[in-house]
Amino acid sequence: MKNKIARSLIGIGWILILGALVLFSYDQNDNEMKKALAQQQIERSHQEQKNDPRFFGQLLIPTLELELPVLSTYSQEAMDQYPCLYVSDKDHIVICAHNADSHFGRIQQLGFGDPITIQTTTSSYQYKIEKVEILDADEVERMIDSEYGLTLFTCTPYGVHRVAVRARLVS
Amino acid sequence: MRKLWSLLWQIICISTLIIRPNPVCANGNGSIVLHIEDEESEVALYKVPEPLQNIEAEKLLSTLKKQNIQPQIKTCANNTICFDNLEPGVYLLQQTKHANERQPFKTHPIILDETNMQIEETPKTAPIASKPNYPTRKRNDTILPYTGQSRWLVELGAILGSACIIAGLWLKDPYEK
Repeated sequence: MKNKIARSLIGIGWILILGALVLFSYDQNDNEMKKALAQQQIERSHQEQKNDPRFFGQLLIPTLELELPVLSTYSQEAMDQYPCLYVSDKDHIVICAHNADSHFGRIQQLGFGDPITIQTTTSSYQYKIEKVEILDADEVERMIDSEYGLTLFTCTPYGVHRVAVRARLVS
Repeated sequence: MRKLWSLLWQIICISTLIIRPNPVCANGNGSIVLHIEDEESEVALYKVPEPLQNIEAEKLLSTLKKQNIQPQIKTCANNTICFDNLEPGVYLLQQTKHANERQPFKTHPIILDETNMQIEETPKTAPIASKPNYPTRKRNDTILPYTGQSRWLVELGAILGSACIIAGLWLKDPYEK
């Protein structure tokens, strides 16, 4: 009887480890797909991008060597492919993306003074990071605070909180 | 011999003229010359009274205004503003007018003392960034979107799986048939 339980436990253990491995390879694959999609979009000619209303512009974070196209509308499905414009008004934008390494997975590494550029089809705007903070998932008002010209956010590694990178327009 | 004395006297006089202190410093009159890119600039110069000279630069302007100390005000001509006939002391410079497309320079103190009575500087007046005109997108979410990956599930699966295998190996009785 004891051995039966032991065998079951070992079996369950292997199943769980196998499941974790499958999920891990899925994540890796998803990450590569996101990277490839972003690269494809970046390589499209300027004219093509201008004519594509799905895209708001490009986000450049030199510190993380990231160059990402940003969709002009947000939906959970759209965010699986590209970062999305979550909220915006005249001179203030909030962009969200998955915490995959090819998207916003490393934004927590950014620090004060790091530059961020937003390139729209007509202009280019330079921002400087002022702070990186952790917010709760229900702090919507705080997240979309317009005191900062630009906010980037994503989930913390376990998805419980949100990391917000706040930046101010410099030129 | 007289010629020699005369020559020596001339050398002494010329040397005195060459090494004499700057006449402006000697008179106690100094100047502050600002070279400003922004042609529409107007600058106020406050003389800081001695009791206020220990106040932090950020708080100094408001203190001077509270004490009703009147500044000298000058406008820019040929990209230059010149304040002259100044006595040694601490002064505070504040840009009171600037072009719409440029930021004023940072209000800062300047010290004029007997060793340095002529000050020239080129304060930076950076252009103001033109404001972007982004499209308006509003949302009424009560919770921020979930932007996580299943990374935590991978870790959980690996930990639980390992725990199960270890527990199974520990429970296994090698003598049981």
